[in-house]
Formats: sequence, structure tokens, C-alpha cells
Amino acid sequence: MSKLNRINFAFFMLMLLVLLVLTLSWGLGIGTVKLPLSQIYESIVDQLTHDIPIDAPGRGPVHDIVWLLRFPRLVLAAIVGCGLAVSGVIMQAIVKNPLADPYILGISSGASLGATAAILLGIGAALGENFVGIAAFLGAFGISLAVLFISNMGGRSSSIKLLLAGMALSAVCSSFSSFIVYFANDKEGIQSITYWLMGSMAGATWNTIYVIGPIVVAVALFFWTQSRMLNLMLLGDETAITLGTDLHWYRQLYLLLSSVIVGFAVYSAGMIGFVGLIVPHVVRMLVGTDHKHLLPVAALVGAIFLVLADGLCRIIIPRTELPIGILISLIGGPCFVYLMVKKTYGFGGGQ
Amino acid sequence: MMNIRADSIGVSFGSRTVLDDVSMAIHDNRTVGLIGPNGSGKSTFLKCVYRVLKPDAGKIYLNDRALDEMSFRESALQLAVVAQHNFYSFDFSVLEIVLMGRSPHKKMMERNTAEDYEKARAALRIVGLEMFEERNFSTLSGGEQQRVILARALTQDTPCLVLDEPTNHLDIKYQLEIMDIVKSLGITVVTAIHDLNIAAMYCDTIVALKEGKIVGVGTPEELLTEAFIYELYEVRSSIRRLPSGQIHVVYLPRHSQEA
Repeated sequence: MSKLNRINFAFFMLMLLVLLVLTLSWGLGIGTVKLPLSQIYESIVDQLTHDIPIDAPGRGPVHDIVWLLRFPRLVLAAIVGCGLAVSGVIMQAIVKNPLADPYILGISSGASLGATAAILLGIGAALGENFVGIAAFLGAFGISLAVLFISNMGGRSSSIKLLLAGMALSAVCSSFSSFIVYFANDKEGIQSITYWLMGSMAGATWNTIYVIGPIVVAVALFFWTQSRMLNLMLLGDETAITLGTDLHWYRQLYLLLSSVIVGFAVYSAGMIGFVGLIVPHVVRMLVGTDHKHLLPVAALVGAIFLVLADGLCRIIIPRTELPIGILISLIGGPCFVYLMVKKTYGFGGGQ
Repeated sequence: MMNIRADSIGVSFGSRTVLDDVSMAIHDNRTVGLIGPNGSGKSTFLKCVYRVLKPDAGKIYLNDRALDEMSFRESALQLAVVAQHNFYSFDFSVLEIVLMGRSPHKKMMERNTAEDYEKARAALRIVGLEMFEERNFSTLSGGEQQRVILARALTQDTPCLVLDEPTNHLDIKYQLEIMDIVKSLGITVVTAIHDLNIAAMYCDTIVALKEGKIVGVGTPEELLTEAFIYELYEVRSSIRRLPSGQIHVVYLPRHSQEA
């Protein structure tokens, strides 16, 4: 608690929560149809005080816009942002490298391969309407298992072995995806892959949220209880052993849990880059490296950031929705460069 | 109370034998120095003691309990380690690093208490860095970083300290300072040392290793003779005794021998 004492930290968290609520209500108000705050408020109170299913017919246009269109995608944005920021923090600890992001261990290529196979080859079409998302989830999770398995061959895994296994598998998956694309000769399919890879919250439904929300929140809370271990991870295996902990199994457990979050994020919103890389760094500048503070703040900042980004996507070009991935890279890239050149934050690079 | 006993430790990397049948007993409150040329197995032996390496043969006992039957946490409560270099790729504050010395005393969810902070600050005072607690660890000089790591080891509150060439790359002031602090603790210390004069000044017993075998054990007076230093390092030297009784090893370079 070098930079913050307990009371200040609690206050800071409270401020972030208030900010999250504010951005959520901002997000509810904007879009093609402008809704005044009072109508939104009425509709929310109405739904919460009456025991009627959300998708019951005849509830009026305001209700449908708020509860069926805007609210789910905003909540999804918050959950995905939280999940990506948390797993970014975890991945950086697992591979002990500040340049890691949630997709570093080949998860992105695995997800793309799954999505490509689903869209172009129709694999998994029997799995329901979001079979592309399911295939991407399976691809992402499968490759994490493969990375774990390979990094344990011929001796104990280490952060370097994990990284190298991730890179190798990632290359294999990309080439498989390219292979499928090359022989598919399906312009429309290729376009929808490209679109899918840019990420979007438009597919949000309450049913997905009911599944993903609790999982992301539970895993994030679990990681919060692991702060001590995560701090030790940054010091490396040898130091951790002299401080009484063998990190080997913890690293694998964290990797699996983290890929579950990332897999669900990919399933519901496609590939959204940069959040998981930049949020952990911004938050470290604010509260320091101690995971006890870093994790909860990163979770909230990630959620706020993605809700804001999703709102901007809908209004930045009139009557068109910009894919959220494009917007985030547009904001994220320059922010990252700013962090890089700013001297007080070393990215752990030392002086 | 901490007695360490190593029972015919053997380590090999592939076909290369790094340690061969190394046995030693380190008694409570003694400072034992390991000397020997590069690659003689000093560090490898210490790594077996602090469990980063598992010996291929033999056992190590802490107070007659076999090391490999203890959990990492139990052994971390018995020995603290200051190793050769500590480079962290993330920005921790000095106090955060020192507080991690409390880890083996803590359960997973337990938060740091006022007592833990007090211990960490006391350790920083001992190494003379109390005004550095908010500083970013990676912005400190090599000597300061090594003293922070020593403070972390002190915070661990163990009856034994293992030093794996902790004073390498430090200038002479900090070398003496770190050894003075360690010596003043009155606990069991096992240390690998390059500098024979420092070994002579601070060690009760010196163990000499060459090519993975123990080639000599004794007090500095007994062991550090001109003949033995030549046998160990193939370097000619002259041993001087200062009026205070302190032994001083003067190395004789080739050109001075020819003259």
C-alpha cells in the first residue's frame, strides 16, 4: 500500500463505480434515437419493480430500446472490458512480461481459426445461432490447453517456454486459417471473418450475459484473492521458492482460468485488442504494481473503457456503427505511445 | 537455532558432474564461506540448499529434518536468501519488495498487518535505506538494490541466511557494509565469496571447492596459505598478517614474480 492507504483506496474504488454507472447511463441515452434521461429512468424502474419477463411483447418502444437493444450491449461491454483487463494483468504476471496481453499465448490465433472454420467450412453449424462464437471459444480454449501441454513436455514449464509454445502454436493456427481462406473462394465469408475479427457488442443478449457475467466476476474475484501469489510471480520462480511458494501449478491454473475469461469474451464480442494490454499499464501508473490494488481497479477501468468505446462507436459516424476494435486501436495506439515516451513510467524497463 | 547438514550431495547437468559427494555441517550461529574458482560448484551447492535445484544424490537436513520432506513454505521460514542478481521487469516500490519477505508467514488471503510494516521498516533501517521506501526499486543503484534484497531477507525473520555471492559487482564500501550487517545479526550464515580477504575477515569456517569437490575445510588462518591458494586458484600470493590479527591475501601477478 505504498501509494494508497486503505481509506483512499476504498474511496477511489467508489469513485470508479460511480463513474461506471455514469458511463452506463450515458450509453443508454445515446444512439440513433435520442432518449431523455427521465424516460430511461422510468423504463428501468418499471422493469425492476414489475415481475414481467424482459422480452414480453407490447412493452413499448422505449422499453425495447433500453432493455433489449442498448442495455444488454452496454452490460456486455462492461463485462468483456472487465474480463479482458483482468486477464491482461494475469497474463503479464504469468509470462512475467509487461508486453503480454490476453491473447499472447496464441489464444487470438486459436479463436480466429475456430471462427474461420465455422464461417467458411460451416463447422459446428449444429451448435445454434452463435456457432461462430462457440467455435472461436473452442479454438481459444483448445490452444491454451495445447500451450500448457507443450510447455510441460521435456521438463517443467516456465514463462519462457509458455511464450515460445504460444508463438509456435499461433503460427500454426494462422497458417491453417490462411489455408482455409485461400481455398474457400467465398468473398462473403471472408468479409464476415474480417468483420468478426474487428469485434462488436451488437450480438449481446441477456441470455449470454447471464452465463458470462457470473463467470467473469467470479474468476476476477478469485484472482483478487491471489494477489500475493501474483506479486511473487513477477519476481520469478527462484525468488518465489526462497519466499516459500512453488509457482508451477499456480501458473497453470491461472492460465486456464484466464483463458476461460478470454474465450467467453471472444465468444460474445469477437476479438477486441489493446484493452488487455493498455488498461493494466494505465492502472499501474495510478495505483502501482501491487495486485491487491491493481486487479480491482483494472477490472473497473476496463469496464468503463469498453462502455465508453462502445458508446463512441455508435455515435462517431452518424447512422453507422464503427466496429469497436477499430475505435479501440485508434484510441489505444496513441495512448500507448504516450505512455511509452512518458519518462516516469518505465514499463518495468528500468530507469 | 539452525544447524545445516549436507550429506554427500551430487549434482550433474547432463554428463557434466558439477557437485560430487559434497558433505558439510554448518553449525548454529556460524558464518561459513564457500570459496573456489568460477565453476567450482559454490552456487550450485547453495542452490541445492535454497531448493532452486534438486540434488541428484544426497540429502540436506535443516535441524535434522530432510529438506525434501519440508514444504517450500516451511523451508522459507528457516532460511532467507540473497542471490546474485535481482532484475524485476515490473516497477515495485522498495517497501513492496521488502514486505514480500513476510510471504512465508502469511496465509493466502491474510493482509499485511501493522506488525509486518514495522518489521519491513525496521529491516530498511538496518540496511540504511529507510528514506527509500517509496522509491521505485528499478531506479536504485546496484548496491542499493542488493541492500533492499537483504532487507527483504531480514524481514523474513529466519534463523539462517544464505548469501549467493551477494557482494558481486558492488564497490568495496557496500561489500563491507553488507557483510557487517550480516555478521551483526548473530544467525547462521552460509555464503559464497569470491574475495578471499572478505572471506578471511568475516567467516568462522571456510570451505574450499574445486571442480565440484571439497578440497579444504578450516578456519581462515588454517586454510588460507600461499600453497593452498595456488592449489585452488593457480595464483601466486603472499599472506600478510596485520597487527590486528587480520589476514590479508596479496596476489602476485606474473610481472612482479619475474622482476
